[in-house]
Amino acid sequence: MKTESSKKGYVYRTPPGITKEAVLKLSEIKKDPAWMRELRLKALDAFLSMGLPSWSPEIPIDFSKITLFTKPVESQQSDWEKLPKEIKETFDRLGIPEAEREFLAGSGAQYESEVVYKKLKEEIAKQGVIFSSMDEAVHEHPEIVKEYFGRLIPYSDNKYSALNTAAWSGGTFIYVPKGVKLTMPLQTYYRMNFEGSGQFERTLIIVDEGAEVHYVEGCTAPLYSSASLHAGVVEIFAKKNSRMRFSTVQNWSKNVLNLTTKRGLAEENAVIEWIDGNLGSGLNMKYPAIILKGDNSRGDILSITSAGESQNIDAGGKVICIGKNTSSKVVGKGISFKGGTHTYRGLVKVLKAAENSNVSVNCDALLLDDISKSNTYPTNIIQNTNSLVKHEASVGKIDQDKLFYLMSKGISEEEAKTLIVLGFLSPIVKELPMEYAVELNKLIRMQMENSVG
Amino acid sequence: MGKINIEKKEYSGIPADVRVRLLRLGVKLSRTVECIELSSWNAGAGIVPQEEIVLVSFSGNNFISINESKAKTLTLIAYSDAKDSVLNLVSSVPVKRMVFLPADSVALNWMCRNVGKCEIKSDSQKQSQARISVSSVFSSDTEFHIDSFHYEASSFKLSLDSVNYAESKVRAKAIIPEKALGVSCAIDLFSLVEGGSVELSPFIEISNDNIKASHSALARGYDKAELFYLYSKGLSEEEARILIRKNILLRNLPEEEFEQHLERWENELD
Amino acid sequence: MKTLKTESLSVSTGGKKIVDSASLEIGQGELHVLMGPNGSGKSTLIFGIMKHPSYQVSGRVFLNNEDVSGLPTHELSKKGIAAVFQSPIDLPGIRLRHLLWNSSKHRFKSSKDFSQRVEELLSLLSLEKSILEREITGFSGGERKRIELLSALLVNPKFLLIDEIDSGLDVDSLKSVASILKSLKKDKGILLITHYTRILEFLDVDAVYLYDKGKILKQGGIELAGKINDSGFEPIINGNS
Repeated sequence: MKTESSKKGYVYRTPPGITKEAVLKLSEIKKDPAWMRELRLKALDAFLSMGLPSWSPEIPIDFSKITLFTKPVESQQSDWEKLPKEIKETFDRLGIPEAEREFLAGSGAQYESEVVYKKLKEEIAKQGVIFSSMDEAVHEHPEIVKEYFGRLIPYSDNKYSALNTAAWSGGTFIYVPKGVKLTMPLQTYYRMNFEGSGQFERTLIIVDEGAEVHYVEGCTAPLYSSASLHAGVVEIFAKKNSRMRFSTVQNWSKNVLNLTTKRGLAEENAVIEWIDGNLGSGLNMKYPAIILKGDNSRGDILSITSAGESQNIDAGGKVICIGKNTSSKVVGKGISFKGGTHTYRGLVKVLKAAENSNVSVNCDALLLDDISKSNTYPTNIIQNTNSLVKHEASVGKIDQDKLFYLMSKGISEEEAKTLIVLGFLSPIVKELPMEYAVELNKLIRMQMENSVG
Repeated sequence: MGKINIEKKEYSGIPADVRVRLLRLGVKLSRTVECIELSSWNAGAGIVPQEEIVLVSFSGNNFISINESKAKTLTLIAYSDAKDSVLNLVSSVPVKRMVFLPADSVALNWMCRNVGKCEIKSDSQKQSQARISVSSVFSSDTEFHIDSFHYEASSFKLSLDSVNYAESKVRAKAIIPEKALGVSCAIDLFSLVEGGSVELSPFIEISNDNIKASHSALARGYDKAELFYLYSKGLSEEEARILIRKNILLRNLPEEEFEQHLERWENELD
Repeated sequence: MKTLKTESLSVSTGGKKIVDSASLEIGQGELHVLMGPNGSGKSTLIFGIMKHPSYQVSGRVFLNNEDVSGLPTHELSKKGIAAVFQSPIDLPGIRLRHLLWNSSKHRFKSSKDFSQRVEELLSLLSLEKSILEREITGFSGGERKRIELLSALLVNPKFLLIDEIDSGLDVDSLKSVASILKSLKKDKGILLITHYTRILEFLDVDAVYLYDKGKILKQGGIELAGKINDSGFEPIINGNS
């Protein structure tokens, strides 16, 4: 379905650089209530005075060149032409229809998805569930937002959360009331929300007592972004006896530097699961964290990383045990090929009061050629005498015996390597909803092409 | 009883290949070196270091203990150019640095306490097998920084088993560079948390695909099932814990040699 | 008659020669048995013929007088040489059906034909249909052997290289494997590797090779197997050197 003929809307654009002027302009465009504007300004001050975090690889950013907010023109047919050839080819191979391609390129037909999205909202609204963009939530549900926004990741947390708090735009807000268990996952179909920027997204999810929800975000199709820095923030509050699963797959184009601070707080008996797919971007740094505050709470982190040519993908997870009888399972699986670098960075900390905690971490990496790299940096801290923290990792190349076995059955070397890699990643991939899993497998297959043999 | 030869030498007087390997590991020494030569069997000979740098050259199977030191700090260099040699060492003095320079199929078995802040550096030569087993009681704050370097076709195994009572840290880093093809490397860290807190960080950096590397870290309190089993065999709580600790500390060491020293330590702890 | 021939095939790994200049020739419709004590490198002969990447091979392999020595593993399979392995392989995340389809799809006009043939073989080998959906991990020894036979039969090969299919089998299972081998023998050439003579009682054997420390020491008929059965390997090997 084609867009209506373009109304050449004017472009809103904040002046370049991260300045008070730019933040105020952004706040004006968003029609922020006073409290949000104040918060942005405080965060800006913090950003300007902070140093870069020490717990991370080197990052080449020139903050003065960053434009905080750009609202794109409605019709951008011409942008399709400007897309890198490899992205256009990928859309072809993944079988994505014309109209969707244009949307993914940040332009054109939003119509179809907007209709579907609205229908979903109507259905769940009947149960009292709120599922909207963060921008809408600030205006329509100020009390809840005000109570939780920044409570888990305050602007003072690190330089990027300060930047995000000052410059955020877009993102998702979800509130699930007490006892409501959603059986179907909530999905934002595309990473680019209607506001168009997607750079400093802010997501806030509150799952009230006894409620359950699975939220899926992201897109396996490669997304081209002209914005080079993506610094998102995701905060999840899982209250007593609730369950929250957050699945993301990111496949940003290689010019993107993707940093997201994601943190979940689990109260008594609550369960939080992060399923994290890191396929794209040139430099990715993402360490979903779970704070097991309540007794008997549980948190799992499943992370897949694929680092190809000129990619440096740094991912992992953090688990902090505060309550008693908490447990956590972290599984990281990474592949690196064509000179890519994959790094697992993890932290497990069992505090003194966190009696009888049980945390196990398994991270495995496959190197597919002799020019790629793999690093693992896990830190495990245990502060009491009746808990268990276990970490196991292995790194290697594809098992020659397995390769030979498949080939002896008539399967070509390239196909055999692909099967082994997909098999390696499958324990995590199968936790994603079916259509994502299928696309993810297709995508990895394509990324590996010509990198084997 | 085998021979022990102790001699003081200037740094320039120690074997050239030792100096080369020390440089490669980034260990710079300039002082007088106390050179201790061990050959064939030595059963528990006690050594009192006089100098801060002690080079222990060994061949064959040897056992020495260091329970007293006259030097302010202690850097131990365990060196062997004889295939299939083993150095068994018991120490209860602070050790600032342990440098392990093995030849093919050489092992270092080290049981220690009061180590303080210790840096372990090791290299494994081309096509060689090297093994380090450390068992340590962290009765006071202990820190181990372990760096291992790996060369082509080498195999390296490091295990560190500990019982912790204080605030301790173990960081073990294995670096496998681009040209180091055919390396296999296993690093296993374990700590039984009797008290205090422990931090275990096994790091790996790999730059080529022709390797097999694994690492593990496990920190926990006593296993309740294990305790229950021993109680059911008539052991008291204290006896059960002592037995479990003993098991942990001796499991990667040749038992006979180290057991009596461990028993002495247990008695001192009471 | 079509033949599979090796000419002075040597197989080494890590600088060590494991198979030393093995020459043998098997025709379609023949069953040859390679016998030798444990650790003599028998499995390595199959790895060598099939070009396992961890091994270096010298000498030649001919399939119907065509030199196939330079061909990679999967092409040897496609040309009609099927290997049936002994040791378990662990391929988590890969479903059996997927593997079977990928290795044999060039033989079938449609996936329906494929499914039909697979079902026939499943029942021939007394395997449950549900096994197709399982990941290739955690199979029992018996399941594993039958799955190996299934995947070999599925591609209707001209030659089968079978490694120790008889180890650990009870008499009944031995008999049923033997009857499958007998029917295969009708139009295929089989090289059966074993260190145990029991299964031979149920088979029609055309040649027996005595193999030790990488070398084919002796070649004979079924009576050679009988000698091995009576006196064990050692006296015959020692009598030979």
